[in-house]
Amino acid sequence: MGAAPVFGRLRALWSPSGDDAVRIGERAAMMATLVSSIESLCRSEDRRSGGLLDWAVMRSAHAGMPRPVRRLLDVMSGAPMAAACTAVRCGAALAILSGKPSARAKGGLQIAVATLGVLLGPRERVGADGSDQAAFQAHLAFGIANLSNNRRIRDASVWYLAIQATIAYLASGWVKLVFAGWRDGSALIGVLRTRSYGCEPVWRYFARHRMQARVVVSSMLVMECAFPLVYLRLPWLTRLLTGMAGVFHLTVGAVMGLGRFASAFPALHPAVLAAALPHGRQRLDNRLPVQGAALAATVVCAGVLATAWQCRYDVVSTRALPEFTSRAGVRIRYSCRPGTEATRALVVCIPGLLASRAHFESLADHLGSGARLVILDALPNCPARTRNEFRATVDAIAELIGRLARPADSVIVVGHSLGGLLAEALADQMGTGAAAVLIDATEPEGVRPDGRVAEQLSFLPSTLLLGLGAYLPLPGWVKLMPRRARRTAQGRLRSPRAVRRGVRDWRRLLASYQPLQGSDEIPAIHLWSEQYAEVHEGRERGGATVVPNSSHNSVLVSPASASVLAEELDRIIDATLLERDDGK
Amino acid sequence: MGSRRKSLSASRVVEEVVIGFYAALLLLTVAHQHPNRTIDLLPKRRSLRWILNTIIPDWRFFAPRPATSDYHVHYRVDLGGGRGSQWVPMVMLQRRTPSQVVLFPRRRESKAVFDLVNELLTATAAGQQEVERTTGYRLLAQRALFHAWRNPHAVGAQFCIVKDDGYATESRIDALYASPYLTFDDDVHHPMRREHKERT
Repeated sequence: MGAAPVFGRLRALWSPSGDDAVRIGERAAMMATLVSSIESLCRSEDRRSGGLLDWAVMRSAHAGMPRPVRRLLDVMSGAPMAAACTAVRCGAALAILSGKPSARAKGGLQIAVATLGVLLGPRERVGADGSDQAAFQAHLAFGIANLSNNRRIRDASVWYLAIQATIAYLASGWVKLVFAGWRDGSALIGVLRTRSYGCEPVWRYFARHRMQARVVVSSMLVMECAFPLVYLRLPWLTRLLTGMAGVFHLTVGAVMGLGRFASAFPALHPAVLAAALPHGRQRLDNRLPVQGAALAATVVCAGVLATAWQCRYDVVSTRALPEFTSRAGVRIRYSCRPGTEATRALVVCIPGLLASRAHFESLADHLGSGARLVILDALPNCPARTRNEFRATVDAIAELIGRLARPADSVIVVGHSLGGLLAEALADQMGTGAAAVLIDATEPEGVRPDGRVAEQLSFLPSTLLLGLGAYLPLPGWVKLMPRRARRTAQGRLRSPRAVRRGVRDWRRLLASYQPLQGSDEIPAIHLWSEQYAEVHEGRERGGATVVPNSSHNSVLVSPASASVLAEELDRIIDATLLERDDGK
Repeated sequence: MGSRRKSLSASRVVEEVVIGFYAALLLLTVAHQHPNRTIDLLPKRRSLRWILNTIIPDWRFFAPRPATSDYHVHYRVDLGGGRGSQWVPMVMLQRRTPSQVVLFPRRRESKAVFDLVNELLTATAAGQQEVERTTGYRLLAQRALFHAWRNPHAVGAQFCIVKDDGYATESRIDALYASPYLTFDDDVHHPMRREHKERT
């Protein structure tokens, strides 16, 4: 090979045009697919009966799909067909790597490889990794570019891969920043310690030299988080960040045993250079980034409007509720349902985290005892400087009860989830003056403001603030509620303000929770959903009654469970009234 | 002239369709990278979801919490009458060699175990019924029965999931999950159930 072709190839790598990006990228991506297909063919025992990818078992995950789709997947995912498709992918990769096929033929092969990837996806998703995803994106975009033979479509394909690569680094970097272990380098040491992805000598080195581990992780995070800066029209910065990414993938491939990453992700780098370097950007048609940004802005605006529309009923109806402010400044909104004169009982219902008065609507509809019903609209709202929020909240509810209860009323406090914890403390404080009914009450030993629930709630308020709540599915239990209650619950779950407040109150309540003195002696009645009973198997507490076929939320909101609960509650109210009358 | 204009407008339509397709994919990709993995913004329609799961990439590798332990799945054979075999590893993690940088077929197996175990463990918070609905449970249960089937005296099997700290020699083993006893009549593997009926 002469000096000119070598120089030309180096130049194409250093400063690729749109065509160079396609030509170099498609080969690197096909290399990853070739290795992946060979590895898959080597593991034929996984696809057989009794294997880890046995379709006879995996297909059950797709039971709810339309029949034609299931049939198609059954045909494609049978062991012989899956092996044949993988062999076809292998052949297509070899053909493209040979450089012989025409542009159209290459495009056809790439689209075929991508299509087989989609059809085999339900089966191959178990055990697949990021390199398969990156290679798929490359085949799809390069295939469209080659098939179309249209410069603008080629440019859009190059832009598509450049933006995908940018999202990949940005997402990977920013999501890592959430976890403290990545920020202090301990996560890297932890990963390297594993036999799955680690490397013993490298782990031992970093375990002894933690500062070096921190430097390596920091460099990686800086590269990932700062990757969008490649579009700043600074060629040195673009090449530096892309070069760092390339070195990163080579290192990961060698150290972590992820060799396919070393070709799958660098396949996207020529596209990044072609789109980001100033000369490349002049040559590429920029419609995709512009139209993509416009689409994103439209989706966010539509989401914000839809969220406001969904919340309007809850906002208006909640404002109309009476509000009580305790001596300590704790504010409680509540709804009140009058009972019959003959039944001298006051039932106070306390909802849990992110729940509202809507949670108790079904129960209220089914209650037949004629007791007066006070339903708290949400967890009480403590002033910012409250020292012990839990105690202040309990005191505030006790004050509210003191104001609403008539002299001869028996008081029954019903709490669901976190509300159950408050109801128990309230009953403890009020002594013989109140009975407590705890529905799936939060277990005191499970009270951890940094636990699994906290993880599930992280970034929820900011997601809602961006208007993305409109695109989140509503939990299944909301659909079980009566229509009016459903609108309230939907508004409450979609409102960034309500969710932020709810999460904050929940954290503060749990942080200030103190176990009750002699809580075993509190005459609390426990009602459990079937799901809760299963999870807390072996923790029999106070002879709990289990409501069949119910989950943590449906136990309260589904009409069937609510009628069982209401029956139980009516019985408790009657027993309390009887006890009081006997006492007289 | 007219046909050329028609072809130009057709090519313009194709361009717009392709650009719209790419823009939609990019938007869905961004939506799929939420730092909270329990928040899923992708459309939920089942008939669409299997395609989206393949087309829309999840770029959150090792994030936010990376796996810093190795999962091991063990099984034991139920020999009836309260007797059982020792716990045996279902999948052995392979010792790393330099050649694996180029070709590493067993990486898929260990990643498959990792994926299945993760799916199963995530469901444990919702109770055993939910666990048994997961593909992870069903595949591991079937694998345990498949191994037990080789023993002619077997009446069933059980599997468990443990984790350790990998290369750390002082690491301790934590038990994460133990399945109930599985019999060959369990509806996890039809061919074995059929053969079992024939055998008995």
